[in-house]
Amino acid sequence: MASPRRSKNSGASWRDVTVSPLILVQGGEEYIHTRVTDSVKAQLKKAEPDTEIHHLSAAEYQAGELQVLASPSLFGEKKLLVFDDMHKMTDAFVVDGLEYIQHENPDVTFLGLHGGGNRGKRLLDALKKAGQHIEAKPIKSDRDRIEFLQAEFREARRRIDTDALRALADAIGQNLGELAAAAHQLISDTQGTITEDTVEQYYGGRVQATAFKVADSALDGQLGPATALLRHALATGVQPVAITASFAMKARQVARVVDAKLSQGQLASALGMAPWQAQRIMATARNWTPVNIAGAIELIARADAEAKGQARDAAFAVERMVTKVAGMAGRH
Amino acid sequence: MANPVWHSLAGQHAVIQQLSHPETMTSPTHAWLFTGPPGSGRSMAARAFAQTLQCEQQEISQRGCGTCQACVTIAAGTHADVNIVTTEKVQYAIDDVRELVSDAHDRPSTGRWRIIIIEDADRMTERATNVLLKAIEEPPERTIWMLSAPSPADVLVTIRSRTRHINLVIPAVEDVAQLLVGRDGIEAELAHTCARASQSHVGVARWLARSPEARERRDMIVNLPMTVSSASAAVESADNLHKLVQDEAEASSSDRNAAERSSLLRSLGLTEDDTVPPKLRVHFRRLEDNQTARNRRAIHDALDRAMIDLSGVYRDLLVLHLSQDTQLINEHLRPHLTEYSAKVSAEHCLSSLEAINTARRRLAGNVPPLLALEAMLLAFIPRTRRHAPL
Ligand SMILES: [Zn+2]
Repeated sequence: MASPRRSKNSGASWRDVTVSPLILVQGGEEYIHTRVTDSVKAQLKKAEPDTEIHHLSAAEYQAGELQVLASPSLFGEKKLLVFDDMHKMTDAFVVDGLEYIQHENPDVTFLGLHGGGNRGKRLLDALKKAGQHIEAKPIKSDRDRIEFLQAEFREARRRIDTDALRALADAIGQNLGELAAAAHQLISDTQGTITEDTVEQYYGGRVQATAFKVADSALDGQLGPATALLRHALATGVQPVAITASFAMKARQVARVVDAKLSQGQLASALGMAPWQAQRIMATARNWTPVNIAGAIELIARADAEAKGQARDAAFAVERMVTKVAGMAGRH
Repeated sequence: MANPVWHSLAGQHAVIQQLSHPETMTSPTHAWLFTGPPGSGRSMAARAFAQTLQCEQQEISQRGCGTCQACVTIAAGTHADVNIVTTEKVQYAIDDVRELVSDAHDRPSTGRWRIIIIEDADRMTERATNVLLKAIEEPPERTIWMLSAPSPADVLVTIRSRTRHINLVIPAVEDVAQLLVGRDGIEAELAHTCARASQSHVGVARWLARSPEARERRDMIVNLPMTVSSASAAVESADNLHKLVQDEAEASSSDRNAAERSSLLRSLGLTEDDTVPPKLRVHFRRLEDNQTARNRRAIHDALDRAMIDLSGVYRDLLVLHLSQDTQLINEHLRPHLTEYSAKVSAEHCLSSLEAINTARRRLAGNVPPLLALEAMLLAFIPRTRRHAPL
C-alpha cells in the first residue's frame, strides 16, 4: 500500500479514493459515503492491521475533540477519524477543522462525510484545496445508473452486454445499494459474459421490458400491435400492474414535452435520459395533444386502481385502458 | 368557566358541560366512546376527563385543577392508574389487547379509578375488538374504559351499544384561534389565519402558526391550482409535490430513526463500527420494517393534508362565486383567489373537487402517489380552446 500522500484531486470518482490525510466526501448519496468509508478502512487495515478507527458525528462535535484524537501518538500508530453528518456540523467543528488542516498529522486519515448543502463552507473549501474531494451526488438518471452498474462489473473484471445492463437497471430500480447487490450477485453466481438472458433468469428483467413495449406501441397509436403485445405479456405472466406502471412512466414523459418548448438536449437533462431516448419521446409526443395526454393519464390512473383490486377482472381493466389509449394517439 | 384541564379543548362547550357534571363525576359509566373529526381533540377530551375523575381536590366542582399530583401525572402519561394506549402501527395486534384486558383487573393503587384510554380504537381488528368486548361487558368495579375513534361508524356496533357516546364537534375558527393565542402565545392575526387555514384542526393550526416553513409549504400547495396551466407544468408540479411530501415525511422521521438504531446497537452491546453478527440482524430488520411502515404512514398523512388544503382552495373559489363577504379558508390569499375565480367556472371547481376525492380514493387503493397526483393536477387545468373538454 502506498504511504499517505497529498493529492489535490478535486471531484475525483469515489471509486478511485486512496488513503491520504484529508478526504472529503460531499453529496446526498449515502451509499457512496458507505463505500468510500469501507474502501478507506480496508486500505488502511491492509497496510496496518492495528489502525485505530474512530467514528464520530460532526453534528455533535465539541470543541477540542479533533485535536485530542489527532494528536501524534508515541508509537506513531495509524488512525482513521470518520466524521459523519458534516452537513450538520457544529461551529466548533469548523473552527477546529480549519485549525487542523494547518497542522495535520501524517499518521491520521481525516475522512469527512457531508450530506450536501453549504454548511461549513469555509471548512469545505479548505478541505477541497488541501485534500481529496469526492462527489457523492445522488444518482438519479437512467444513464448514471447504467454507468454505475458498468463500473461495478468493470471493477470485478467481468463483461456484460449492453442490453443486459439496461435490463438489470430496469429490473432493480433506483436504489444504488440494491443495484450494487444485484450486480455482485450476478458476478459471484455466474461465469463468462453476462447476457440479457442471465439477467432475465435472475431478475426477470424482461418482464418490465415487455410491459414497456406494450406502452411504446400504444402511445405510438399502434392499436393492433399494442393489443397483441399485451395479450402475449399477460399470457407469459406479466402482472397487469406492471403494464399500468410502464404506461404511467411513458405518458409522464410525453406530458412533460407535449406543450413545453424544450429542445432534445433540455429534455434529456430534465428527465435524466440519454439523447436517443429523448428523441424517441419527442417523436411519440407528436401523436399527442395536451388534452389527450391528460385524458390518457386519467385512464391509466383509473386502470391502475382497478388492477389493484377495485375491479374484479384486472386483465380486462388493463386491456380496456390499452385500447383507449392507443385509440387516442394521433387524434388531433 | 371550565376547570383548567379543559382549557386546551377548543369549542367543545357542550362536551365539557356533560363530562364535568357532578353526577358524571361521582358515578361515571364504565365505558365511553369519544368520537370527533381529526384535530377536534377527542384524545385530549378523554385525558381531561380522566384528570377530573382522578383529581385530588376534595370539592367536586374544583376537580380537574391541572396542578395536583394526579392531574400532572396524567398529563405526562405517567399516572399509575391511567393507561394511555396508542398505536403507530396500522392496526392493534390481538396480544396488545389481551394485555390491556389483564391490566384492567388490577385495582387502582392511588386513584379513585383504574382508567384505560385506547386511542384510535378504529385500528382494532374484529378479533381484537371481541377480546375487548368481553372485558367491557364484565367490568371490574373500579375500572373505566375510554375509547376514541374518528366516528361511531368506525367501531363495531357491539362496542357502540355498550359505551356512552361523547361526540366532539368541529370547533369554530374563533375558538381555535383563541386557544392558540391563550395557550401557545401566538399573535392574534396569525392565530386566526392558521385556524382558518387548518379548517379548525387544532394540531395543524398550531403547527402552521409555529413554523414559517410549514406555512410556506402550504402556500406552495394551495397555489398549485392557480399556477398549473399546461400539461407539462402539471406533471412537473406533481413531481415537485410528491418530493415535497416525501421530504417532509423524511425530515420528521430521520433523526428518530437514527436514534432508535443507536439505542438498539447499545442495547445489544455493539458500537457503530461493529459489523452486526448474523444472528442479531433480525433485530435490525424488524426495526427497519417498523420504520418503513411509520415512514409510509407519514407520507400518507402528509399527502392527505395536501389534499385537504387543495379542497379548501376550490371551496373558497366556489364561495367567491356566490358572495364576496363570506370568510374564506384561505382568507390571506383573497386577492389572488378573487382574481382567479373570475377565470374559472363553478362547474370547473366542482369537477376539481371531484378529482381531489378521486385521487384520495386512489391513494387509499395503493395507486402510486405520483400517478394519482398527476391525474389530479391535470384535472385542475381550466378547459380553454387549446385544452378543450374531452
Ligand atoms: Zn387536580
